[in-house]
Amino acid sequence: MTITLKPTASETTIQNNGSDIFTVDSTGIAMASGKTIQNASGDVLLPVSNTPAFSAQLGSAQTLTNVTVTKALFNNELFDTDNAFDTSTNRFTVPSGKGGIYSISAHLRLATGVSNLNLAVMYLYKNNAIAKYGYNNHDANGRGAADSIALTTLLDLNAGDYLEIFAYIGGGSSGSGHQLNTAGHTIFCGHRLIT
Amino acid sequence: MSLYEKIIALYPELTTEDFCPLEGTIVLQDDSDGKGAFIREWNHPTLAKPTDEELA
Repeated sequence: MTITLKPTASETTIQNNGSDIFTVDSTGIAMASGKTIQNASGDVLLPVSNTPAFSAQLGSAQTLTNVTVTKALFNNELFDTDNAFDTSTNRFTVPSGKGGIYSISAHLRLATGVSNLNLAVMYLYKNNAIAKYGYNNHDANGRGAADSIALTTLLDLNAGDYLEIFAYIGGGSSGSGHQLNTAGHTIFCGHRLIT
Repeated sequence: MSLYEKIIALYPELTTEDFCPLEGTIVLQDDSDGKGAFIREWNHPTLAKPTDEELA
């Protein structure tokens, strides 16, 4: 291995066997294309990248059945850096080699006018089991029209782990008919944190 | 008729509270895959889980 310093009037480039590694100038250090700074474990520290990252939203209104935990259909993908979100299963799966701490967020908007929505729950499933959930409990007072639930959490995920969002509505017999509604308001997104 | 309605027809004594995921003992789930709802959990202390024939 031959390390070479190639200074100019304004910058110095460090090469390995004739290939640029990085350049230092008055503004800082610029890594050459494809070059990284890694820790002892081989994790890439620079350049930073909060990926995998994904964002998907409801494609069209989805009617929910009363007292039934129902998977939300996020079949409108906005971006997906690692092709890790499957719109056919509405599932995000951690790609191989991409385990770590993930920030996951979801928001559900419930719309249309049933008169007695007493309880609305959003579940974040990890590997087909409840990982986190949030809910609005209106007790016996009910809620007639729109309602919404938001959830943000950090999860330590391994390659192959998969995440899904489920919704639940509970009310009297007329609770059926509530919908997940409005694409921009019913979303599922996340990204791996830089660690 | 939804799965919930079929179960209520079999066991009229059940209420929506029994299906509440926070406090109930029965969980119905629909994976939105076209196969319909199914009983994910049945932990009711006295009532037996309905058979497929009873729910058909």
